[in-house]
Amino acid sequence: MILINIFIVKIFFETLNMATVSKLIIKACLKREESLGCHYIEK
Amino acid sequence: MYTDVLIIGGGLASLYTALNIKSDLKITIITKGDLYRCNSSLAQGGIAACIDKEDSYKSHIKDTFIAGNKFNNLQALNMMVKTSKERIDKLIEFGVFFDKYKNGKLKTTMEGGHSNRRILHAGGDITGKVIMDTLISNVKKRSNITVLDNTMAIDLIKNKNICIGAKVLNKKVFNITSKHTVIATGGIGGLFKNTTNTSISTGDGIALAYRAGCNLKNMEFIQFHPTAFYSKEKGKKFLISEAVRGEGAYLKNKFNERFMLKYHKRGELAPRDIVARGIYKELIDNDEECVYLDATHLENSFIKKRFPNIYKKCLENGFDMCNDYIPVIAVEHYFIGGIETDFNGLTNIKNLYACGECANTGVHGANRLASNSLLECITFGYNIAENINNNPYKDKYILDETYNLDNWDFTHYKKKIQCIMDKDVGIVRNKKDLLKAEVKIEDILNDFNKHFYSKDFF
Repeated sequence: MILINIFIVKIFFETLNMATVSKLIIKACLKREESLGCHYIEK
Repeated sequence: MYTDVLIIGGGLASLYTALNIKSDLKITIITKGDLYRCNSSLAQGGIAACIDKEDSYKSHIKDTFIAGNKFNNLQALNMMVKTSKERIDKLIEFGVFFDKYKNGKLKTTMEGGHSNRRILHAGGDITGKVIMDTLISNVKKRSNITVLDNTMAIDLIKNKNICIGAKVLNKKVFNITSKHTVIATGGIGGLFKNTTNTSISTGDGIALAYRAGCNLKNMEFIQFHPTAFYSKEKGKKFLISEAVRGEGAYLKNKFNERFMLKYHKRGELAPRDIVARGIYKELIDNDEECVYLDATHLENSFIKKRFPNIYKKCLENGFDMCNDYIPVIAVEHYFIGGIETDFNGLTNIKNLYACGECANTGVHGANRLASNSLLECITFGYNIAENINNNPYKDKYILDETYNLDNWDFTHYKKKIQCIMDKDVGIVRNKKDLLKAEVKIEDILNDFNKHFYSKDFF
């Protein structure tokens, strides 16, 4: 395969990483149902 | 390409680790930008350490434990505080010049949540930059350390449960195999529209570790800094150090009221989560876009000397700290969760370490105390280096394949993620919005899987 635009490839991985970490953060937020420290859940 | 130690990331955790590793080991540092572009360089306030006779380990531990909502790993915290003087001495040995009094005594300041003046600073309010510039010049002198700029790790390489390097991307994709690999990629500010982080902080190391099977911990804890300079421009917000409040500045609402005393007895110097939520509540209750930092009652000469960088930046934006109230808001600042590590910075994958903001050592608990982040970097960076120095690993893997990639366009997803995280996963959260956000992010990941990720580009 020919490399066309490495910058775009970098954005691909960055975006994939951002989505992956966002998912993990949201899952952790949902799991901790009570507020603690800087995780504040409005009831 | 082969190296004894591969360090992914180029901030304080990376450089301090590298400089403490024996000089007969070949070290390769890869950074997505360059060594001058990292969050460590942006640290203004300073680095907390128990160096004063009037201070005590007990007090530093207690303050950190209270700020962390008693959720801290006390053993790790004890270790960090009790070795802080040695780690600082090492920084001084590397040439870092902390601010001093004329008699040679190190200057210390106060910050939110601290009950003693224990924050060392350099260049007034450019502590991170002074430390990083000094360490970068040390790294440049070390012939065993190679730095690859504009190089991003895209996945870790494993042999069973042993990490043997990473696939990396610069002008092409290639493997770097290593005996030891350290992830030190910093935070996640890039996930949010408004952050004090550099734009390259996109949580890469955490995602790499997750894909490789690392345990992650405390991912729900994200610290929002109470006082970032407010402007209508979106994106990176410059920080107004906690030390400004530490030296006596007040937070005021549009009615000129010092509102923080309503929320905590320590007022402006309450732990960051409480101040950030206090500001959030004022904005909602008073339908404001920002609150104000008032330092006008402090001596003009003191402000200019103590906070030269902040003073200059405010002035560039049309605000004179000596005479004007500075508009501020709370924005994403620091990720407390991350890759779970032990005292030596080791993850659950053999020969894979994590250090700094991407790691979760447990020292911060559920909320980080101001100026403990740089201290964590050097504490665990040193432990990782010692562990590597004392554990020579004999197997050497050589994988010399290289890869090239196709061209895809998916740039719009970044903004989409930032909007979701800002709106639904911010200072105040609720279950309904979190569930909505979960669905939206899953949709994005499904798009990646459907269209791109299943392609065999590794």
